[in-house]
Amino acid sequence: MMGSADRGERLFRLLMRLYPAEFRRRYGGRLVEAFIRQRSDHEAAGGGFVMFWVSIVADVAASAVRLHGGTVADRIGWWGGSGGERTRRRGEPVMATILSDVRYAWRGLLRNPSFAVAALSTITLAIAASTAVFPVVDVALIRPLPLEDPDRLLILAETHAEQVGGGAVAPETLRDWVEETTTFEAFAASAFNSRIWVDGERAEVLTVADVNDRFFEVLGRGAQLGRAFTDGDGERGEWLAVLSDTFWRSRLGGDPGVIGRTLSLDGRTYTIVGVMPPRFAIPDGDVPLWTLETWSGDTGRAGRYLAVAGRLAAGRTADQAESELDAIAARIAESFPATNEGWDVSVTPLRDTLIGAVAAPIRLIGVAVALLLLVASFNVAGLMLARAAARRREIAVRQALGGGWRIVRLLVVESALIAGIGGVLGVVLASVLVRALVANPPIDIPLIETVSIDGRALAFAFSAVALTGLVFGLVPAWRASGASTSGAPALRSAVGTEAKRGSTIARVRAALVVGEIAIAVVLVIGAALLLRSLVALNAVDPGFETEDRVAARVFLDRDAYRDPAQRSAWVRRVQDGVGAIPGVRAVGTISVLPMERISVNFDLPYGTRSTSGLSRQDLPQAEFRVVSGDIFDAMGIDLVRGRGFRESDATNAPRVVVINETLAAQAFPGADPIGEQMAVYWAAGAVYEVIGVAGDTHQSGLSGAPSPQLYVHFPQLSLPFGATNIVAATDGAVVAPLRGMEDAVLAADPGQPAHGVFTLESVVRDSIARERFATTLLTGLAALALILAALGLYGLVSYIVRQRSRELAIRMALGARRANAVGSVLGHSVGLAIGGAVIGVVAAGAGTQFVESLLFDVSPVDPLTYALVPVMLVAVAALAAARPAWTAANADPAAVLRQE
Amino acid sequence: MPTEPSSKPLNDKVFHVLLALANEDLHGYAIKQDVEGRTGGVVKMGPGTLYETLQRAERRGLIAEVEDRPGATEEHSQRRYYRLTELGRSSLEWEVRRLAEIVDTAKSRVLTEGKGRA
Repeated sequence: MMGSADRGERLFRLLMRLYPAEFRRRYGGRLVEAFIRQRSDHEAAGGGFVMFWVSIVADVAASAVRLHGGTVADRIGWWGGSGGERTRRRGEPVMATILSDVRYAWRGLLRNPSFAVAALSTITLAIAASTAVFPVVDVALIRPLPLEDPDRLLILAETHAEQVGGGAVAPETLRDWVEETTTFEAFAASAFNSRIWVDGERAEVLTVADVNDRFFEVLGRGAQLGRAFTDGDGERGEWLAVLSDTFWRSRLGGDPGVIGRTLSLDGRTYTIVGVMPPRFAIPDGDVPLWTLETWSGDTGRAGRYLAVAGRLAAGRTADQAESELDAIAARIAESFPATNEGWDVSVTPLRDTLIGAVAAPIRLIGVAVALLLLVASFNVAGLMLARAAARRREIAVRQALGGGWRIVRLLVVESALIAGIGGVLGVVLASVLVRALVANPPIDIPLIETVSIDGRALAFAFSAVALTGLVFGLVPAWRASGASTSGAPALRSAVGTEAKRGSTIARVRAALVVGEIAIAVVLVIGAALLLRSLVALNAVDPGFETEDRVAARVFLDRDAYRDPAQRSAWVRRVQDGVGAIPGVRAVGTISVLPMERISVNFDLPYGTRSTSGLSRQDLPQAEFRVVSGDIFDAMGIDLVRGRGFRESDATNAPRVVVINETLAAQAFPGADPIGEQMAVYWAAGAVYEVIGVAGDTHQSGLSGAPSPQLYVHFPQLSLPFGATNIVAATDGAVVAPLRGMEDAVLAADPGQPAHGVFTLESVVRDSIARERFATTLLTGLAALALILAALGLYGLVSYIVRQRSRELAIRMALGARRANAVGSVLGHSVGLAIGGAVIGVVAAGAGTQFVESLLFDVSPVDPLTYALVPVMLVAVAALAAARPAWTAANADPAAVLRQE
Repeated sequence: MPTEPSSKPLNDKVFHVLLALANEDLHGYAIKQDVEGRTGGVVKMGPGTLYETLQRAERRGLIAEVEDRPGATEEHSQRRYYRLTELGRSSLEWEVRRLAEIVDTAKSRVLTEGKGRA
């Protein structure tokens, strides 16, 4: 024990660093000995671990402050040249009073643990919630992006007024921009691509980012090891790769010798030239590596799939850039009307693009957390007032003995102590929350990797603590000081009826409670709106079955499967393999699943008899899907009319197409489409016969309207794109089929592993993750606010009942009915609740912009919600008030009167 | 060395330390135990407060360390014992008198007033 210091002793020695060095030198050994003896005494007495350390920390902190105070006073005294003793006494009062205040406050808290626990847990929760949310809001909405000069970065995309799902740029158009623009310094281009990484015996699919040679330069980030791609790399035709820090560390062991080594991707040999720093997360945080790409192949101007960012040249503005790009777009449209008629360029700041989708929920949560903080401080202010009232006799005595300001100071010190301790606990809790959030983000929050409790978050927490401390410390302090300036009247009133004083405190508390209820109403209305919206979203029929449906995604190697016959053979093998899995009843493949996030535009122009007069660029468009097998059965998509595909619809058979209801209504209004002819323009264009009409599916999420869609049979339109989803319907089980699918895919070609297996249920669930996240969080915050408001009201009513116990007792002694007594107390609380609810409803109506964009099929001023929530709040308020009111009414009048 | 007791009331903790040393020399932890035991734990003396108070009392010349104490065993030879100085003893006596006066005044007022009330 003496030889090797145990953990407690080490901690104590650490605490001793708080002391002046001289004191430590002289008493260090004795201090440790006293510590050890106190600990064994404490343990022998059966004392708890926590209480022991609380007392030790308090002891060391207090004595250290006193000792430093003494040291400072000594130093000041040195200047005066007088003896240490007298100057120390001169220095003592300030330190000593503050200390005695702190000690007094501390003892006060220990004496009244229920108050301490209530106040501390309220503040801790509020600080934890707000400090955990702050860095997310900060990174997403406030702080400059972690890139060089991010304000000069613009996201550029080709858009079409009538086309959804734009947002990407064709490589040829980008080449025009590079050659013709003067407003941009350079462009960064990227596209996700699945590549098969063969590492020894293992093959694995990686979703890599293909990027151009100026990608890193435009974003302004260099490599941490080796180099990033640079201007001119693209011209040499080399296969180069830059690794992410995560991939480098987790897959290649963080070996600094990787530079110059090679990787086999899609059968090609890439040379590793660099490793990016951690947290470089563009296009997203999951990218394992960036491969150099020039997109030199001719994919046409309709093949829009690049994400492009441009860096403005010095002195140029986004407006100038936009008009220059528009002029170029107009010229391209003139030369290539078939592919570019009606196409514009959109220019958006990088932040809007990066944060866009999650800005609304993040802003909403930020506001909600600020409101919760306010409720919490109102609540503690109420508690402090009650405490001040309960201690008014003591305070009056102290006031009588001298100095009204000391009371104010005491109350401020007390609230500072609560705020300080609550703040520290809150920050600790927040750091746990943030770590969990970063490790497991519930939605795709861009830059989430960069979120942490940093200096800014701590500064925020500190100001939040200081502000709440002020709110809940100053109100009671102001009450106390305002009560009376000289001690005697205060003492008299404290000893006397106290009614007037008590009722003022009750009024202030009532105002606080009204505020709390108002805020709770705002939050609960917001949460209720989101809940209703989520229910409405969940009720939307996606157009396909989600139960007992499993799927696997495969990206066929474009080089290995260049030949359509090879592709057909592979599809056949996979279908047979998956079909053989026990429990699978139907199998099919589809090129793009509903709600799948894709960067490629799959809209094709089509023609019917009624469009025969139109030139190709004026033709309407429909999304096309290439399918095979029993895809309609496998996905549970209804066939409304006609038939689905058969094996006989083979490569050389007559071309057939299945269209969805929206397309049927659009292309053949009022007519039976079955048997009609339809020209579909992929490259040259071909004529298809409509054989069936399928039910609509929600392609772009549950909240979006279904779009016109056509399905063609895999053998008849075999695309060079490699993405294929294999979907199977099972008879109830999903876990075993999921595993079976991975094996079946590998069995079809060991070099083509599945990129992932998942259920269709998860596809739908993920599509509303953003809404669910906002709803869950806001509901939690609203519940907290509601509980705090209810507690606040409960406390207030208990207080009022105590205040009025004498009056109530007299009334009952004089024969008043019990119900009347309860009613008068209840009526008061319900009145407060109604006041708060009215204010809350008005405030909620004024704040709809925070929630509007997150709502589906629910009005932000939904009458039902606005009517029910206040009623519910008032009911909760009545419940919270019921118990103290009942207790008061049941008290024995004689006993109450004797007490006074 | 001045022997005039300080006119300023003694600090609460210093007073208790002096009281602990009134009848015998004690080492640090024994002082703590005496104070806490005598006050029923109302006055707490953690390690830091204990030695801070001892340092304060020593600097004011109220107590002094004694290097060797008759009867100290081998095991405890490292322990420092504290003893009241002349100044310490007179300060303690003065403080006790001051407190006694206060108590007398308080008794005469509070208790008579108390009788007046029901």
